[in-house]
Amino acid sequence: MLLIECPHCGPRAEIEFRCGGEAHIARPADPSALDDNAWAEFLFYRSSPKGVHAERWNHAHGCQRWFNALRDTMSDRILATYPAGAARPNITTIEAAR
Amino acid sequence: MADAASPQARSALADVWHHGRQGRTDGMAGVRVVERSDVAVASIAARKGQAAALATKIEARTGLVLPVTPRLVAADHLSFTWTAPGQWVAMADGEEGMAFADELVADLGSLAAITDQTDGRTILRLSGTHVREMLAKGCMLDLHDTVFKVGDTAVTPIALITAQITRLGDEGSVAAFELAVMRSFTQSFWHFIEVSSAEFGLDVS
Ligand SMILES: [Zn+2]
Repeated sequence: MLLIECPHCGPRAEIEFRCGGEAHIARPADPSALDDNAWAEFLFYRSSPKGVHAERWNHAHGCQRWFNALRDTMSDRILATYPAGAARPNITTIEAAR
Repeated sequence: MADAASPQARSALADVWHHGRQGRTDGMAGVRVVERSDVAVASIAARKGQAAALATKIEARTGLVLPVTPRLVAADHLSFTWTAPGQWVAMADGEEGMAFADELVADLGSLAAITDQTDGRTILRLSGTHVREMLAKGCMLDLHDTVFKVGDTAVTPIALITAQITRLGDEGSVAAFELAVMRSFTQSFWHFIEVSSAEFGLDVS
């Protein structure tokens, strides 16, 4: 069982959570000013790194809050979790998380 | 007291539970369960940016400090349980649900959204020498006293039903927990309690 540390509730079982895709994607301030390509990039274009990835997670069966997590996509290890709106921790490799 | 024309409160367990001893019959029952029915329940959600003002007002009125971590605070007949950031459940012994919620709205309505939950939840108190072993069959939390301490609370699936579990003080020398589930899940939840307690003996009162 994978434990994920909810920033509000503490460590909980993975099945209490839902992943919401890549984190830190800012909605453009003025969408009507974008051309189709830029709008499509905001809506659909996502990175899929091999290694540390910042993701949005929701504690669906607990406090129901969204937060962010750094997850190593190779090992599935969660390296850090932090509240929505907080800056991404400076962890770029799994070694740095140790 | 309600007049003859008013609907009477009815336990969601009325059709399914049987008072007395169930499961293993020899020795003391390892799990004891009581429904907490004489209580008013209301959910509180702080309005945007008003959590601090809400806490200040509640402390002034009740002397209780709203917890900002998953904890329970209680005094006399009133308690507040954290459920999420900016959200709590208030419970008052022996009060009528709507009246309690109305009273909270009159007091705190400008600072929080308050909703009567009295008939919306089933609240059970579980205790006994084997209550942790029984809960472990459906609860993924570590309920050991060094981890889940007296006054700690959590919203978490138990037997895949979202429940709020709170560690109460000991009853006699055994651990006691309060579990709240949404009313419509009560019968399924009760099935979990019955079958999970059978090997230890279950005392329903
Ligand atoms: Zn949570």
